[in-house]
Amino acid sequence: MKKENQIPDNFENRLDEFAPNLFSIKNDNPFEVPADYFDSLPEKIASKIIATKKENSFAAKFRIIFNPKIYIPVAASILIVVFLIFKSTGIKTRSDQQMAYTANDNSAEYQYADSLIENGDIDESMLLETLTGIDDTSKNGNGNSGIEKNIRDMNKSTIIVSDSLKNLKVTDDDIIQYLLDNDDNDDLINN
Amino acid sequence: MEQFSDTELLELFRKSENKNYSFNLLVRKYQKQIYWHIRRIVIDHDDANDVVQNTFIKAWNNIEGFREDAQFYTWLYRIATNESINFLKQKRSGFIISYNDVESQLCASLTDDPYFTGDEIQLKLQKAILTLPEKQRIVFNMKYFEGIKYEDMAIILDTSVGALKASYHIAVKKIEKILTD
Repeated sequence: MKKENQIPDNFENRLDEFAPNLFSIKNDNPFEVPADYFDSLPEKIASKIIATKKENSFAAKFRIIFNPKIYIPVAASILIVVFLIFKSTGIKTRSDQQMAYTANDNSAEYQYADSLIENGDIDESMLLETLTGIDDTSKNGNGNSGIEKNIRDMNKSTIIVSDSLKNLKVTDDDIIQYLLDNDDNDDLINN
Repeated sequence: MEQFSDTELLELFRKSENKNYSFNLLVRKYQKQIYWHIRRIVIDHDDANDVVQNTFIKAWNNIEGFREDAQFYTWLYRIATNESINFLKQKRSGFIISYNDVESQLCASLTDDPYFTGDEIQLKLQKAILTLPEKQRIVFNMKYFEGIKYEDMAIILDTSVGALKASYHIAVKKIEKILTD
């Protein structure tokens, strides 16, 4: 059975037979273009390509700057660095500071306190009084803990004493003169 | 310029320091064929001008990835066809009107087009072609006006040769009927 829409062999070259009206019309191009259009088209395309390249390079830069794949890790890295800097430069909370004072036995303040205890200049009861004063002072809301203040005061007096001792030069002549001026030994012998 | 083969021009493009110059040679070789192919689809000269420029820009952007096992001209025709179809698609979505209304609008623009110089019977033929479905219309134009081989059309339109022959056969019958009425 022959199909109605079966394509005849070599149909496209037999239009005169199968489509005489179409065949009678010339297949000339009925369209035109403005004068010199094809002379100027390559230059138009070239300039458009250059413009597109510039746009693309700008867009690429924009994409790089605002690409989440880049700025999220960068922001995270900055945050980590800032956190580490804060951590290492002593910007600490109150509890951190207290922990530091109790934990760091090698600090200058503690060494000084140890030397005072060893020399008998301070006993345990005085130390307890000082420590008791810490909490009371730390609750006064002035932002300085008691231990900080006490240690600072101790440091100040130490510095003053040590400075004055450094400046004092005692010679043998000075000692002899001192003994002559304070001739108390005679009284002691006489007594 | 015409004496350069596609392979020679592509080789020149790849090796050339001035790629703009060598691409310009490719544009000069194919601009007329590509323009007329696009013009028959979009009808209006200004639209065809936009689409042909976009076609060559797209070719420029993708030419590095062009595979030598394909013919350059079929690759270029494929880009041009897709760009033309996309252009009409955008036109339809822009107008928010149906497919047939766009073809009617193209038909009306033919009458007023200062760059359409065909006679009455040619105008009738063009209007008859515009009644065809889009793909069928492209197949008819490529075969009837441009004389492209079915094998090349199959590559350009990504369709089988048998389907193209059937499509052309149906299109001719429809147009013949319109011309007869």
